[in-house]
Amino acid sequence: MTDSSSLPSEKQKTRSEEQQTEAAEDMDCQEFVQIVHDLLRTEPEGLRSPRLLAHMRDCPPCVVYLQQLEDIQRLLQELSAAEDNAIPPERAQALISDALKG
Amino acid sequence: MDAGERLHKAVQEGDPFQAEEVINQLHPRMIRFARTLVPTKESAEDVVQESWITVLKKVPDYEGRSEFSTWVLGIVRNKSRTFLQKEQRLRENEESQMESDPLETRFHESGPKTGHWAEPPLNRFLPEYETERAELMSQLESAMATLPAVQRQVTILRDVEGLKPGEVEYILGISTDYQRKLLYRAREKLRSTLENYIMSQRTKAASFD
Repeated sequence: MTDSSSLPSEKQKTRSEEQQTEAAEDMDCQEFVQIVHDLLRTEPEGLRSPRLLAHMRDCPPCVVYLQQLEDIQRLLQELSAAEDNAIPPERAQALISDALKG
Repeated sequence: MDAGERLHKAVQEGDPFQAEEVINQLHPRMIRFARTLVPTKESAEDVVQESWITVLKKVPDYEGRSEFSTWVLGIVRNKSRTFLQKEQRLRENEESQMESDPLETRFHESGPKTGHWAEPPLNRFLPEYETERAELMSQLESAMATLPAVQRQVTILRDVEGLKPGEVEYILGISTDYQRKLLYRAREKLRSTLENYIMSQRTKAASFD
């Protein structure tokens, strides 16, 4: 719930929080793009960091860019799941019987 | 028990069912990776066949210092090397194409908006274009096929297999920092391919109005 009573605490922000907010305003889209590429897939939880969220609030195109990258990750997974790379059973059995002989 | 221990035990105890289970489980991942290393599906199958022979022979030596699948993919990588003596030259050639930023023209280069979008991305791909999903997949598939080999290798290992940078460094011998560059270019190529496809669909749709 947002009411006037929450306003004083806004003013009580620590100095480091202020600096973070400033940093978020300072982040340009090029930097956003680089950070997002570094986090994608390896550290997805990092994509919800306050600094990135603050940039996304002010920048709809960067939201779209990140969604596009995430959509591609999804399509890549589906693409590889759709491939049939299974080993033919007779070949697996030949390998095994050779290995077990030796 | 991890896959390596299971396979070792299966070979030791002569248990074909256990062994087959591990083989079936790892084989698709090996093929997928081998396909990024050697030029044709047939050569990938040969490489993986060779790799299995080595894996089955060497499994008693596997010490569990890395994930078993990482160890196996390292063997696939070694087997592919014999197929590809020219690889180093290829890589140097790819490096020379990596100097410019593929997104360079999309950002403002000067003025108060420096570093912000000049030509912003307009739409996400899914679910907006859900009805064209099959076409998006096939666009993506052919874009993957046109990626330079090393970019394709890193994309398969990092984005499809979900391996960590350290694991990919072990398998491909490519530093984390260089992986960053390769991955950025590869994803950007895939992204811009889908973006261009959607733009062309829109233009088509508009011309019917």
